[in-house]
Amino acid sequence: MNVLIIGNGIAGTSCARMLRRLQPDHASCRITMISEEAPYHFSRPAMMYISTGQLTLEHTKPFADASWAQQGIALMHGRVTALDAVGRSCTLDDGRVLAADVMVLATGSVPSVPAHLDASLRGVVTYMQLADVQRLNDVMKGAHHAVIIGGGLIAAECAEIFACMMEDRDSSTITCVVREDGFYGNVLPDHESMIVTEHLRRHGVRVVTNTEAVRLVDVDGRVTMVELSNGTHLPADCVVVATGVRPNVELASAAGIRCDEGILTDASFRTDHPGVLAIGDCAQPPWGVRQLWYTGRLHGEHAARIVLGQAGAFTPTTDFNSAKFFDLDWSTYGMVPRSSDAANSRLLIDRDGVRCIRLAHNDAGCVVGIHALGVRLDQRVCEKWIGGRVHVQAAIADISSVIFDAEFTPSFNAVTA
Amino acid sequence: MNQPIPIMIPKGASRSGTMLRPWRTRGASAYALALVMTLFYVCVYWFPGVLDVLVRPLDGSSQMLRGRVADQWFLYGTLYTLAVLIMGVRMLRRDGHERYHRYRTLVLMSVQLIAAYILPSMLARSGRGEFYFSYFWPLKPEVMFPSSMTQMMSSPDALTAFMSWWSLALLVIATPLLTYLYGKRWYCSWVCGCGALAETAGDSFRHLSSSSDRSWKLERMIIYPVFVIITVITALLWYEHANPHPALAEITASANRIYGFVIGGLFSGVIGVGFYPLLGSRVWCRFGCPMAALLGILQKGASRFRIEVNPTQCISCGNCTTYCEMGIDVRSYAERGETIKRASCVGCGVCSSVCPRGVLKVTSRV
Ligand SMILES: Cc1cc2nc3c(=O)[nH]c(=O)nc-3n(C[C@H](O)[C@H](O)[C@H](O)COP(=O)(O)OP(=O)(O)OC[C@H]3O[C@@H](n4cnc5c(N)ncnc54)[C@H](O)[C@@H]3O)c2cc1C
Ligand code: SF4
Repeated sequence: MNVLIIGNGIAGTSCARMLRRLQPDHASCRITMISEEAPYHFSRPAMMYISTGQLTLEHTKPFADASWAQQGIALMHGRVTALDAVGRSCTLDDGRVLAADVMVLATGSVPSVPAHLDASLRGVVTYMQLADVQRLNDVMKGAHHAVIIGGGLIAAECAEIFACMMEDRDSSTITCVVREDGFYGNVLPDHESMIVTEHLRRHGVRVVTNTEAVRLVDVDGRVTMVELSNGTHLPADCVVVATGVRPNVELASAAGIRCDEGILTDASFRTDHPGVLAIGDCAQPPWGVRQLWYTGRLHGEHAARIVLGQAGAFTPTTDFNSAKFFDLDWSTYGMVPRSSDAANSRLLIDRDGVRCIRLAHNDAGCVVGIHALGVRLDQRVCEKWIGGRVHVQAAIADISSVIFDAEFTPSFNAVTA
Repeated sequence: MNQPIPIMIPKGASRSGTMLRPWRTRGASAYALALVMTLFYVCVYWFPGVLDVLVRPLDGSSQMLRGRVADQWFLYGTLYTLAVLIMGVRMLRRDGHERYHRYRTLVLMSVQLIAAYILPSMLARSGRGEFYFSYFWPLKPEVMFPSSMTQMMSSPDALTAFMSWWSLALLVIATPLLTYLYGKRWYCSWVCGCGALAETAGDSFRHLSSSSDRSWKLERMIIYPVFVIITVITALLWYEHANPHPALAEITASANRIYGFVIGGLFSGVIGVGFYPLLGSRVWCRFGCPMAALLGILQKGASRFRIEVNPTQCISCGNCTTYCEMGIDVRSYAERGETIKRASCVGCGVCSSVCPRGVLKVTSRV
């Protein structure tokens, strides 16, 4: 069998490596993985640490370069310009045509930039691809007024990069323009969003809430100001547009594969074309698009089993996500609705006023989601509570068992329950 | 909810900028620094005369502390302690907001100052010979050699006798017990002087330890033989003590001399510390230290210590592997959701601090 994987992100890589693990014979299962971005798989979420000089690209590669050849996974560095979804082949930018028995699309996401913001101006970048690390570094040089448009996780990472790396930090400003009431307000309940907003402010980041950027003002193609929906202008010599990402469906839709928001698949990641699968950020299975690292990994590993005929439909696991707002840990398991309030959740706030745990529950009082700021959660306990339909009162009584903080960390003492 | 939030939350262990500094990334300045440190060690061990200009000014303080003029070892001990204290303050400023690091750095600094500097000096002053309450067999093998053991145990001086019982008790009771309860960290990253220097002055270089499989193999190929060699030497000395045999005595004595030169001098000092800026801060602890080998075997085989992993949260960023001073590929376990139990882990806890996704927890709780 000849398997062609387009994209070497976590989804493509997990698929390739799992295929090889299940089918160690190189000759009976030939695996080729193509990417235009970087010759070797690296950790995309680690990009910010390259930007802050905490890591080098080399450190962010989970697998040694030599391991790919040892595993018999052929890597190709180049851009796929066209797909033939019926004949199952693809054309590379250098004109080569590669045929396959099975094609796996793992093309990831692209930044979703609103049409009214011109990201091609000098001084304006997005932050998604490896090359953006260099771009951001370049526009940051000598900049004094950084503006980040967006209030999500990538925006928070960029704020931290600026805070660490702007040369003339004392006379510089960092501003986040956020559409919602508070930072990450489209995901976090109000209380948590407020804590995060306040936290960013304490780190010297201005957070302008309830405001949208309507236009980037330029002089000779170089950004100078950001015009806001409230009519004011923010001086800006360096702008990151971090308004979200969308599945990269360009190649698939051009090839006639059925797409909606993402590439449509069934629960086994099969597109409407036989022998063509889609996984990771770019896929839209029946339960919807998931643009996360761990989902990419699970998709990839499961798709490998599907390709070898060893598995059926994929069952999504308990949702979770985690991130950091500067030094404030955030993690969530299960479903914690943005609109969580006293009727469907219990909020525990530590004496320090910052650390908090929210337990979302259903009408019967069973825990359906957990959400923590400033506290690390033990995944196994969260899953036990959610999966085992533990009552929220029982969970609160046993709250210390869910905490995964380092030894000697001051214990979590809820003042409000 | 608009009142100011008290600053009580952890500040996070940012190590930004590390990879941008030539002296921390094997640039020319790193080589220069390594050369200076290496030369210093060579002089301390083999050409003390060269250091006279640095030793003489310390005569006054040596007289005061030890009741005798300074020598190169006093200079060395003074500089070592100063390095641990000054760079310890730096470590506290960087990571001290996390209690684990605050406590362990303060303990390391105190042990170095009191048990490895002031107390030995005072003992020397009272005519008992310098004795370090924080070093045991096999890191300081002499304490278990028959010559010193029998002499000290039968000493009419109660303190001298106590010191030899102390050495023995730490080896046969405390070492297995504490390692069972807490892992090898009770010693390596909380007490040991080599650890103290690595965790303070060496912290700037921790990311230079290689995490390749090859270096792990090399580690096992060197550290266990070193442990076997010193165990055999010690055993032979005791055998010879019980059954006097001049030819054997001759051989063991020279084996011990060679061990002292190669392992005690060249390895632990010249390479172990001199090469900090090139090979990282734990070369000696990882590849050479027989104490680490012994504690590692106990840690792997009979200890509650481990690093727990939140099964699927890892984003493979590599911070943990990069900043592991022992060169453990922490990420490779974290990605698989596998609890980490490695002989070499000194339990410094930095992997857990630098992990941006709360994946790792260093623990010995049951
Ligand atoms: C800054 C940042 C931080 C993030 N942090 C987190 C986090 O903390 N936690 C989390 O869960 N998720 C995080 N994410 C999201 C996470 O990185 C993605 O969900 C994940 O990388 C998706 O993996 P993937 O394999 O589907 O796609 P990708 O990693 O996007 O890989 C797709 C690959 O396909 C290649 N490709 C696309 N089209 C072509 C073509 N035509 N020819 C050749 N190659 C092509 C691309 O070059 C790319 O290399 C973050 C994302 C960013 C940008
Ligand atoms: S365990 Fe943490 S630090 Fe290590 S690679 Fe995973 S996310 Fe990064």
